[in-house]
Amino acid sequence: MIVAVSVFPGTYVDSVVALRGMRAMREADGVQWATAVAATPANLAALRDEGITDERLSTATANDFCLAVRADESNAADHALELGQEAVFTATPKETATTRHPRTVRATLAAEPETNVAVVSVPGDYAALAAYQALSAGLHVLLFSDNVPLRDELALKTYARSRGLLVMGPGAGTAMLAGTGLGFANAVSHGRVGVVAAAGTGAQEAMTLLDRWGVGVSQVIGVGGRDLSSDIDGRMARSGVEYLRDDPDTDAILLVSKPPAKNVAQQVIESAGTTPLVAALIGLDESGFAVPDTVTLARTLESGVAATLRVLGHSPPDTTRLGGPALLDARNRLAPGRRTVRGLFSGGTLCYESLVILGAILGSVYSNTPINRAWCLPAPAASHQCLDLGEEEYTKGRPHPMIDPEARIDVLREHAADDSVAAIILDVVLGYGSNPDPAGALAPVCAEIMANGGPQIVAYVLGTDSDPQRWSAQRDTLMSVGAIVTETAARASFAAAALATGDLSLMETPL
Amino acid sequence: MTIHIPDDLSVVNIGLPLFAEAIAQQGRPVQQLDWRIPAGGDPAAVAALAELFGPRSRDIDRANAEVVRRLDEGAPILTRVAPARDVIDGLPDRTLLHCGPAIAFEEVCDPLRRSMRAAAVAEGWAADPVEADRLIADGSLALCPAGDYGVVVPMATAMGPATPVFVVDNEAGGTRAFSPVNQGPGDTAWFGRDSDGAIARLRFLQGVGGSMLRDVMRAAGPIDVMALATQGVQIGDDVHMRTQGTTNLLIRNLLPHLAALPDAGRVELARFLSGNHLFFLNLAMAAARSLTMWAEQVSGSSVVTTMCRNGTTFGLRLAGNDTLFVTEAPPILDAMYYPDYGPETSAPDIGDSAVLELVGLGGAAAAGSPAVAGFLGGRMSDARAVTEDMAQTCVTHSSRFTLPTWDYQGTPLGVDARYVVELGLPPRITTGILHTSSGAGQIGAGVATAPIACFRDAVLALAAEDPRTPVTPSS
Repeated sequence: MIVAVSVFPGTYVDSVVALRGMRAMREADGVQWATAVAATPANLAALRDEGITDERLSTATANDFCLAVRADESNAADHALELGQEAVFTATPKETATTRHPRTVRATLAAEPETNVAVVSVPGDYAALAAYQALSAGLHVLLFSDNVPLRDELALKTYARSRGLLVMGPGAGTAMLAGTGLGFANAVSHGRVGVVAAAGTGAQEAMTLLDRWGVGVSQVIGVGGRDLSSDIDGRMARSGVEYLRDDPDTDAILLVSKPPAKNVAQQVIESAGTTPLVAALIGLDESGFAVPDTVTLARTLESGVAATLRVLGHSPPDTTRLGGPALLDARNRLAPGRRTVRGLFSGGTLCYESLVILGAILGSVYSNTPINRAWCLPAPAASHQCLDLGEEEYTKGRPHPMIDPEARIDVLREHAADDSVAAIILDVVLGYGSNPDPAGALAPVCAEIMANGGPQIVAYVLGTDSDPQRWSAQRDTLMSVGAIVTETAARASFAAAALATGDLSLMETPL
Repeated sequence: MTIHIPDDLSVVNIGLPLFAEAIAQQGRPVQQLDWRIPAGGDPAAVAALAELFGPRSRDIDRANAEVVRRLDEGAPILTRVAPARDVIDGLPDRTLLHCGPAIAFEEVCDPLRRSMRAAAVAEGWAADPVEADRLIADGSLALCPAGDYGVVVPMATAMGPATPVFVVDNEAGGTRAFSPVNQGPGDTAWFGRDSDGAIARLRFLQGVGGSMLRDVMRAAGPIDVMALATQGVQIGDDVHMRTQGTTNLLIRNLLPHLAALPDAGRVELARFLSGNHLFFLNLAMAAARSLTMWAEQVSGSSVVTTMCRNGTTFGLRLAGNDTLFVTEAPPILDAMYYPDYGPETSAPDIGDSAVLELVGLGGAAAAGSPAVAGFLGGRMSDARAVTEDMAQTCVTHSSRFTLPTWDYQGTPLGVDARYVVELGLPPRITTGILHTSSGAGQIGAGVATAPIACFRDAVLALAAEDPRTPVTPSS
């Protein structure tokens, strides 16, 4: 075994680019392990744990970048380093030596005094500092970073409220303020529904359904998945609801969350005053929940958006229609013995909603984010499973599946090889920030999987026709290879459950 | 507080560039920050900075604004030249004032030790350097940081009570600072020499040189020091490493009064002045110190008001805080050497002159000085990079020191320790280089980098303080 290291002093490499380098090295022949990281104290400790020691690392500091390889022999190690270096440095457009980008929020404000929002996606350990600097400069913050400690979140949101600002996050991928999408957001039309979401892809599902169903949004305020916990006490959800309550351009408020702390949700809901509010609290147990007349509760994203339409006097469309093969044909095509469902999700909220829906129909559904603690991984053979592939255990060392569909393909093939599986649910999330052609990357693999009696792919495309990827084009791509394509995320779970159980009427379940 | 969502978004993206692309795709303005891991990834420093840039930022920014107002608006006046013992209250006898933080004799570096010997002989405390060394070593002569008495001294200066000093008053702040009359280049004690020539120079200044300068200054009347420095930066001085232009402006002002001196000693003084292109340096330092003394009365600030070195340690202080944060003196990495010398024989950074960097001169003014560029790779763009880096860590820009070669922007002013630690960009200090052991004196000049460790310590200490509204005297 041989260890080889390259150190690039004073070189900052974006984490996505670093991942490209790591992947290039790991794919090289004879490589046992490789990484491409900034030489932070934590990363250096991790390298030592991997048995990587090198004199150059002892003097490396956090703003140095390093490649490290453990390989069978030295030629393989050197070759891997070359590949890593090439992937990291030649694929990046070189900046001319004379351009100096601002390094501080303060400097960007000096250059562009109109700046009013910061999007922060730096590693969680440093996110609070960056967010504070933005807030102190009077900017609203979309805090995409995850792994932000709870106490930092609480302090940031307390500070933000004292300054009349929003901290949308952490881990909030989505917002739309004044018609501009921030983070992972979709191109939607302007309308009179304000969305407050404690769930990233939940916000995207809500805003795209509102758009596709002809209503549109005024603002989408993501608040981060922990905002409605008793620790954070709904600080930003209340700020968001209070803003929308007083906003003359908003007629109704749609609150989206996984099950919140009830007393917190109660307060948030009450802060809407007389403005109609629909609370889509996915999987909520409604007992002990006192709801004012102006509030409607919903247990899925689809029913939440439908209720919002009704509040505004519109009628929601039929969501049970399917694109691609008919359910019966798909069921008949399956080899006998295929009875389980697998959901392989890129969106955490969509995974959660699927767990709720499938759990009610199928019983135990195993997951890395289970709704019942007994249903955790590792899952037993021939079980139903829903995986949130955006969670840390799947994204460590690789890009998020919404950015890079390749990340999901390995897992997809693995589950497709299980001959108990009847249906595999895939969410395909479009919009700004997402992969430019996720359906195009998934379709050939789906075709391969469904050949010869393999499991049926049930896909939901989350997006709009104004998105850069175009919703209808992405759906067509998936339908052309024989995937079933649904109208909402929730309906993908019903379709999959129908295929697995043979009870095709499940598709018509009212929500 | 009520939230306001603007009608048009303008975004700064801190992190993944794909989010900036997403904003640009929607046709909205977006700036990508050149983000790096802050504070070298040090968790304690990152936590301290979050506090100081977050909940504490409003109070700190308010204090900092007052600090830089004082640094920018104070107008120090040279009022007189006199022996130190006549003008400095409580100055103890048989004590050598020295540059930088307090230091035990056994830790004093060779150039400063030689300078101490020369000063002791010039004061008449010892017959020769050998005896002087013994008196200092056995404690018969005491050592004290010059800074304790409002005195700033350049390079390896040591001085006794007979040394003639410039007295500089900052009337607006009621502060007074002192600096010894510069000894000139070559064979001199402040460059770490204890030769007969170096001792003779000290005696000349204590005697006829000092008294004639006293008479000249009295005749010339009060001199606005920073007004001269303002002109100096316009003609290529950084007013630290290079003070040639400003020195000439000063001597031009003094010329009629020099010519009016009595014959005895007049030519000797004129010869000393004409051979001393650094004559203005000490005057600028005293003026700068009178400003930082005023500034440091503001509490709760993150702006640096002291940077001083003794060749062994480097000391740093923030406004409103008495603690001197001390660390090892740094080497001078960007340098040019006289023939036959190099980094292996150079002493670490030394002297109190880094006070100039704190008021917008020296490294802060590098972008205007071709002489400084010469030490940094030779191109003006290299010098400009030093000033631009410093601008990233400073509170504001000087309203008086404007640089023609930097689009007449003011030099960076008010070194904010928070940004220094976050960005890993300590101030650059233009300076001379002394021989580490031989007593050869100056062997080169260059640009030192202040050590980050004491900035970090200062930031951690500030974060640990009880947050309170800073006490800001209305003057």
